[in-house]
Amino acid sequence: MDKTLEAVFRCFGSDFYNSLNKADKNISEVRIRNEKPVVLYIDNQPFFIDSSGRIFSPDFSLDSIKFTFSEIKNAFCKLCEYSVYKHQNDINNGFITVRGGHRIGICGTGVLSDSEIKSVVDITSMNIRAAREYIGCSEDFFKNVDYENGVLICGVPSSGKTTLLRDISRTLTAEKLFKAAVIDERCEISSSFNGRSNFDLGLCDIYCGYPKDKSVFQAIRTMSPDFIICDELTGNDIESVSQTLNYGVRLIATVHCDSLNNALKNPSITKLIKTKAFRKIIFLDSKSPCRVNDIYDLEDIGLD
Amino acid sequence: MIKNIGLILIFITSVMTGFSLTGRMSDKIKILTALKSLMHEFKREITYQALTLSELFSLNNDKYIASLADSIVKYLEEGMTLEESVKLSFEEADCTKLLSSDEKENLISIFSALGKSDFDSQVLLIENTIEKLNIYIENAVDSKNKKSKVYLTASIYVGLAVVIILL
Repeated sequence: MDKTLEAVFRCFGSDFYNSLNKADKNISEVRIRNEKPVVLYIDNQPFFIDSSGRIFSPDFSLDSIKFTFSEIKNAFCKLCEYSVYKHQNDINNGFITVRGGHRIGICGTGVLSDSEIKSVVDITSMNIRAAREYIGCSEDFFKNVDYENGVLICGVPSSGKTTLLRDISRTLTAEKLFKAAVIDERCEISSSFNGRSNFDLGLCDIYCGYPKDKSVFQAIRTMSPDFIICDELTGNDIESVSQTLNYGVRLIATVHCDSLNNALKNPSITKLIKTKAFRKIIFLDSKSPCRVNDIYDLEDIGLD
Repeated sequence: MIKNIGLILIFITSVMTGFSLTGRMSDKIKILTALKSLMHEFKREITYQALTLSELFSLNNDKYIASLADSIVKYLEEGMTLEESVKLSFEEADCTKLLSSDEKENLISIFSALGKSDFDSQVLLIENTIEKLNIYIENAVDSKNKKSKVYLTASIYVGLAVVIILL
């Protein structure tokens, strides 16, 4: 097991780490909920685990590992390295990024101020997603997709969108020698921790923690990129997307979506498509991460 | 001759004890002042740099609380919880031996709450800690002013009395 991931699991106690270690599986996700069985995701399939490291299909009648509210609270403080204030913005957005770039989604009770989430307390659920780097996973993308006029990458959660973006950025800048800026609003692509990227993104410029609307404009003005790469666009990013088009910068971005049918029904995605910042829309295979399943030319689709 | 040397030694020992007791009170003030400075540093660094708690304790360069800060960092790095690290460090560090048990308990509970809440709560906690340390420092200065003269005078008189008795 990766050392940084080991450190994450150790925050939940040595016993838990030992059980996972005994299980010795390629775990992509671990979900921990207050007083509920821990759920491991292996090849996108859920499993429970017991203290001896035995992994089995979800069965509530069997004894499985559970965590109490105070154990989750303690683990959360440890994961934050007793520096919750440092992760405040991320916590308000529902996650923290820890050493090794692993992202931990959190869920609890929101504290609001002027309708904005000011803080999250009483954390009851955590979703640990192991950050991975697959060097060369974009080979399929570069072979089959005409990326030079903008690509919108669609996929369901855990289909490898972010992992693919990492390798695209590395290949574009280190192999094809384009200039690229990575807009990493949640520090997920670079998995930066304390200013150091945990993954090889090639020779790109990384805007870590910047909001998209500000960083896209800054990147265009100051770093003159050929490509801008960003993760998880939403309907609110229309203006940023339009900017790239106005300045002749090509965009490679991802959105959550499973099929063209659903993409065209989704108002946010149709708005993004209508900006004409993308020439291609591709869909990733939900079962084999980072694999391009379908490629469509947006000019053929003719959305006005 | 030997008797005279012995008497001088007894007198010097007595006076030195007085100085040592006064010195301990001065050291306690220096320790509390160092903790207060550390809290100010925490507040500044949390505001502008958002360092982790271990990094904040590592920033300390005051020799009076070095053993305490280093020990907390060491235990945190070993994977102990903050409460365990703080408690053990307060028990082991030489500098905390001069603090009263009340002061120690209060500081342990405050230090154990560091880094566990959002930015605003942390700043508030640090400001309260500084206020509390100000009170401890005031008390320690008062106590030093009141008792140091007594200790010094008493040690001289006790030394003299013993010398006179033995003469």
